[in-house]
Amino acid sequence: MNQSLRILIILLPIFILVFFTKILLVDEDLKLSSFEAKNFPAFELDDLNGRSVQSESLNGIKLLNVWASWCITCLVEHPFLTKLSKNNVEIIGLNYKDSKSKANSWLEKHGNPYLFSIYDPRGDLAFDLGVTGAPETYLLIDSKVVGHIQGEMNQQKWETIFMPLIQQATQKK
Amino acid sequence: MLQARKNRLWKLIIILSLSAGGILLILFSLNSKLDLFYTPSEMLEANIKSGYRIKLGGMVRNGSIKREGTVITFEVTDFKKDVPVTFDGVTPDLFKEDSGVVILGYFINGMFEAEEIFAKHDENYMPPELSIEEGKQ
Amino acid sequence: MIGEISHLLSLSAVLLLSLVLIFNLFFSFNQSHSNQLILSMRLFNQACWLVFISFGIYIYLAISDDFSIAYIANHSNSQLPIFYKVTSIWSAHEGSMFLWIVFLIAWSFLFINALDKNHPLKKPTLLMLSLIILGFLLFLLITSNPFERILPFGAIEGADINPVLQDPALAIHPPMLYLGYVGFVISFSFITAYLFHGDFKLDWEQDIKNWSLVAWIFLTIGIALGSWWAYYELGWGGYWFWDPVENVALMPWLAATAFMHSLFASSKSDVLKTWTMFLGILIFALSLFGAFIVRSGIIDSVHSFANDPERGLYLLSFSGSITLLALSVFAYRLPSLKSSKLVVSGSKESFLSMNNILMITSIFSIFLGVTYPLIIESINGDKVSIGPPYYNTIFAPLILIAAVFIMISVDALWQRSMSLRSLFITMAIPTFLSFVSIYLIWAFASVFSLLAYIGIFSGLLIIFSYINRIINNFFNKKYINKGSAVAHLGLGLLFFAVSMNSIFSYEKNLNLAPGQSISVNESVQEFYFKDIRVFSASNHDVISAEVSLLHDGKEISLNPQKRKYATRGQITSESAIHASFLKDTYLTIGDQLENSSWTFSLKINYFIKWIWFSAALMVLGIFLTIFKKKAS
Repeated sequence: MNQSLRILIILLPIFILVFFTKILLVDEDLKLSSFEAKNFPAFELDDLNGRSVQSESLNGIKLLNVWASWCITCLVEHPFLTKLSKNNVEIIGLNYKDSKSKANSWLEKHGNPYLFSIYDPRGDLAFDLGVTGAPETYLLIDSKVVGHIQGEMNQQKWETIFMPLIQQATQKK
Repeated sequence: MLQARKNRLWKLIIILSLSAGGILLILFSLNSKLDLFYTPSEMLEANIKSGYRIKLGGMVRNGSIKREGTVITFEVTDFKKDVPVTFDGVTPDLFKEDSGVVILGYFINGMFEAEEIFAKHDENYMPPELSIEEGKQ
Repeated sequence: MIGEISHLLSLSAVLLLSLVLIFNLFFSFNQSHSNQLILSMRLFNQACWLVFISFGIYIYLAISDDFSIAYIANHSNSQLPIFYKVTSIWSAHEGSMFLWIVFLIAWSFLFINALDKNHPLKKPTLLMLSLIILGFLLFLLITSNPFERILPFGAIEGADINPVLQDPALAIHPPMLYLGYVGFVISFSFITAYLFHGDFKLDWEQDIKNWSLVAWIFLTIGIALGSWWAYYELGWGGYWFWDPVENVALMPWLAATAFMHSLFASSKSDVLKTWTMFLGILIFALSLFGAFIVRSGIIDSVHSFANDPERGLYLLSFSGSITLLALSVFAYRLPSLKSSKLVVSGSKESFLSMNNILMITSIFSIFLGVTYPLIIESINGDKVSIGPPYYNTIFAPLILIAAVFIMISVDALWQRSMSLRSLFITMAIPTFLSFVSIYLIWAFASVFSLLAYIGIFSGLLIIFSYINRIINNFFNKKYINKGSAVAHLGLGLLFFAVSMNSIFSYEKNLNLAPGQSISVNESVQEFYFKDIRVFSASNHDVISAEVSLLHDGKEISLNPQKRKYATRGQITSESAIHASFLKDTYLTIGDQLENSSWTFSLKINYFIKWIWFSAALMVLGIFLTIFKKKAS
């Protein structure tokens, strides 16, 4: 009796451990796909050239990058964004709490990796998106927000966070 | 000596029957009182009988919320099928259109009568099954 | 820069603790045992201080709005009052883990230094504690680093914490709970050390008794605070949902209750020692299990931390290893632990041993309820959930048995069985009075729910038997243990109040325009929706309804609100509660309809104050027990 009790005391926790480990490992696959897909908020804004932005232009797989001429870290990530745009990644800018002239000068001086930039001087669209500062980058797939990075965009974040999501989406199509 | 043995036998019988009773109670409760979780398509396919309390999870379909007095009607969707829902009472703070929701109630005559509505205290709530479905769009 | 210093301090603590372990386990210099111990203690104490200072600096970083630290940027905001800047530290995973570890270290530091330097168990306990602390520090720094920076330039402003978390009760609830959870690392480590050491003539109960009682108090307060917060904040009028996160806090509490009761038996009568040791290990193991469940993202719950499985795996393996280590030593020593004394049937010890079985059954039922959905999902992929119906069904008979035990066993004698005559005398009056009361309540309520009535009956059995005892003590000077009486009365009151609440409470949904007044029922004679106001407060906009009620002849003013928080645009509702002795009038505002009228949810919750009071009684009872021991 005592012998079987001793064995039970050891085996039962081991069994519980194995069970939970199995569940965790299964969960790992599920985790990637259970990030919430939020619909892109509705907005009525122009781009930096004064043309109104159509919501269709957000279709497909796009990055939305929140930037401003006053934002120093944006300068740091700029070369990487340029590299991405040259590799067929479509990036739309969200010019945040900035002046049009300063924003356009900035793009002239440093280069423009964006298809176009939404001009959001009051930060209304940014507020609806949940933006807390610049730079931030969102991954949009068919007008739904499926990924979000705070702080500067770089190779590591691109590979670990956005690329898996993009791969998943393209596989399922 | 014999009496002591008899006492121990009785004790053993009592303990065993209590344990058996307890285990049966637990198993019975587990199986009969669990709430099954369905997405709209699963629920409609499974043809639930009206007496069973179930959990329905999905997104509140855009534009479907209508309020009349204290009663609110809306539709829960998994982007394949929709289920009409009715609820009498105050909805939780994060309940809104285009947002994930889980409701507890009964499906009677084509209408889901909700007893409770859950919306997580975080904008990022979506029942996992649903996000996989959504990703397939 | 300052953040780096704080980070470095914690890293240094890791180094020192590793040294303690390596030094004692692998090397054995030609030092005397006491010198080795002195050196180890010095290293350990320094490591503790390093972490304390590290955390202190972290608090400074939070108060001074250092948003270059990712965690602070994500969870705090410069507009927050200082109090909430500090409490935002434990509003999410990394910071709350940091706090958990600080408390773990605090308990360990106090206990190990209080132990006499010649105590034979001092060294093994020190090693056990060092191992546990080291594992958690590594977990923190490797997988959940609160010191991570946003580079190269920090955020301009913090993201602000969820407004739901900007609340005094929710700010204090985690610290209280953690103090309780981690306090039981002492019984865990000390008992494991005892088993490892192998000298079974040593007396170990006294050394950990008061420490465990204090931890038990914190755990009780922590759970009660969480329940209270859920009641007034969530707007549902409920206080306990059998949510997995609540359940994993309840399991250690039940184990702790069993442990304390068993400890009294084993220290008084030398029996049940094996039980007590097992329970002492089980409590902390359940705490670890709880931390794992909440932080691994494995169970979907309204209030789990969102997390990744990698952290879950680490926690699981580490907690599992520690627990297995303790249990292996326990199993190994089991044959040598045989007690020479037999438990006399019908004695107090026999009831305490049956109580242990009862508690284990309760814990097991909850554990099964928490894991069953996971089991079913892994078998056939169905998603199920286990909720109140299951737990209420299981617990009704369990609390009835508990009530009967309390009623009988408190009069039981140590090491002697109770005579049938005294058993009858103890049971007769309370049982009779309880049946009469049930009949009266049923007549008044005209609502029947078997489970609720079992709950009421159980509560009454306990209450009446203690009233009986108190009268006996007052008139016949019969001995009564004050601490135990108060605590058990609290428990009986809890059973009673919870069950009565479930029978008598009700809800009404209303729809009125401003200026409108209606009569709801005989009790709520008038509901007058005076006005709706819109105004701004510090970091949010407010829509406030002014309602005046005539409830059972008393005039009550209530201001339920809806708030929109500036930073995240989040909307919350603040229910208005008028709490009186017998019932709470609980009003929540809903939505505005197209015709400008508003919906309201009016809940009348009975005996709510009694529930909080019962928790306070239990805490008071344990408190009295601690000080009674010191007096004698």
